[in-house]
Amino acid sequence: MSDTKNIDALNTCLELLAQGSTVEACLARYPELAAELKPMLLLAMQTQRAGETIETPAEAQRVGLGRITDAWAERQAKRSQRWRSFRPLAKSWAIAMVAVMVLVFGGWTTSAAAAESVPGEVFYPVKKAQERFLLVVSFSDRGKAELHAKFAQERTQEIEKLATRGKSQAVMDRTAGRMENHTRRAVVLMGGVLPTPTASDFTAPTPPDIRVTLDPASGLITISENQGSRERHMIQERFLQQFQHFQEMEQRLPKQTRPIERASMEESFHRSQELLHRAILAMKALEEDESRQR
Amino acid sequence: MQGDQVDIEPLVRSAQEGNLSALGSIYESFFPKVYRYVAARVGHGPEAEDMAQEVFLKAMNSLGKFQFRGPPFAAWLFRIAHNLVVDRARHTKSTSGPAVPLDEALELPGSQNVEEQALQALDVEVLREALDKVSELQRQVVLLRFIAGLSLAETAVAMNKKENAIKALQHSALGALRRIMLPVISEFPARQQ
Repeated sequence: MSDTKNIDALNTCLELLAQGSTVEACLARYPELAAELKPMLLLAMQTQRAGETIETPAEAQRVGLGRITDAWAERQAKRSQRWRSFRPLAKSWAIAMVAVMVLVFGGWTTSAAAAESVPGEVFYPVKKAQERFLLVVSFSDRGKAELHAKFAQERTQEIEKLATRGKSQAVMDRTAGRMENHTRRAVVLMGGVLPTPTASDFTAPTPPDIRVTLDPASGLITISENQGSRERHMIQERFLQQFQHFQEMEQRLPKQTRPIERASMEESFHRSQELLHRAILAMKALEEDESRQR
Repeated sequence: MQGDQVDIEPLVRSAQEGNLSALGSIYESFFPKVYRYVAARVGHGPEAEDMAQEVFLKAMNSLGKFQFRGPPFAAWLFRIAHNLVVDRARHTKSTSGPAVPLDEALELPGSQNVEEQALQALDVEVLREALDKVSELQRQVVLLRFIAGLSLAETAVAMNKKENAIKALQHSALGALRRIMLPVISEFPARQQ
């Protein structure tokens, strides 16, 4: 029975079913094989339906995304370490690049125009190039983390400008993606881990740790900020401000925004807020580590 | 991939360039299908969750090597899933029974109408138990074709076989499953009353 004709007939019928055809229509093509084909086709369809009843556990999906993000960040960090061996070369290359940029684009007037630009505008690539330059010349992980947090905030402000100017959702989504990338990198470079969100209460960050030291020889008292704590505090503040910014943005969406567009923007804002929530929790964990070490 | 509405190529290219958001979008698009595929084999629960996550971690590590000139992305991803599931089956020495001979499978008792009614009540646990009794190749074809929803060509790539071999396997697998499941599923109308 299992000759090539039967095998081919079954496959043709399965393809037809996948394209939306009915069992009866398939069987009409092969009346002589209908008795054998019918139960097999029904079984295939029911197997497919049974498979569709398997629910995807949302929590596992979320945890999996966290594992991938962590693995991705680890890889990026390793690449960054490899890159460090080229630092001296990179620095001179970056300075040369910006010098050329300034010459080509007409100096700091261009820079000012670039700073105000949003995705899709002429000067936006200049703004991105300036940011890349700053990241290249900032050689400490914490310095880079601060820059990433700053750029994440910059992306958030751009999202608001895009929303008020009625730009397309695709452009806003790309900008939100960049904001998320910067946020994740800032957390990882600070040595934090993005947790799964559990609580929704955000407390104001603890001010930076102040160190008071006494030099026994000279008797001089020095008051200084702990540098690591200061950076953590700055980044934490930025994440909190951004979180609040997204909340305000929802309320400030132009009245003429169509409901479908509004829903899409709000969904995008919520995604960004969720990530910021996790980033804030990661910074909070670092803050607690600092407290324990004191 | 059948029924897949996402244009995957720009996402994959972007993820290959290091865009984490694109990687996240790929994950969100494929996780449910990969999870269903794994869960139909190992059961709904932590092991399936862990294995589905593992598939994406492995995919992420090899994403740089993926080329659009080669197999479709879905087939490439499910080849990773397939290898993981098959490896797990080898390690646990699961009851991958011998294939039920096709001629035996087609000599079925009872009326066809009863069988059709019983099929309507088929659930995933009955299916999983039945899948334990067919050969590994038959099982994989059923999982990839009907649970993951891959096309014939994609299944062939995922299983590293020729399309004609997959056609023959799906025919023998459905015949074998029908033979194994009929006594079980025939009880269903009675069970449900």
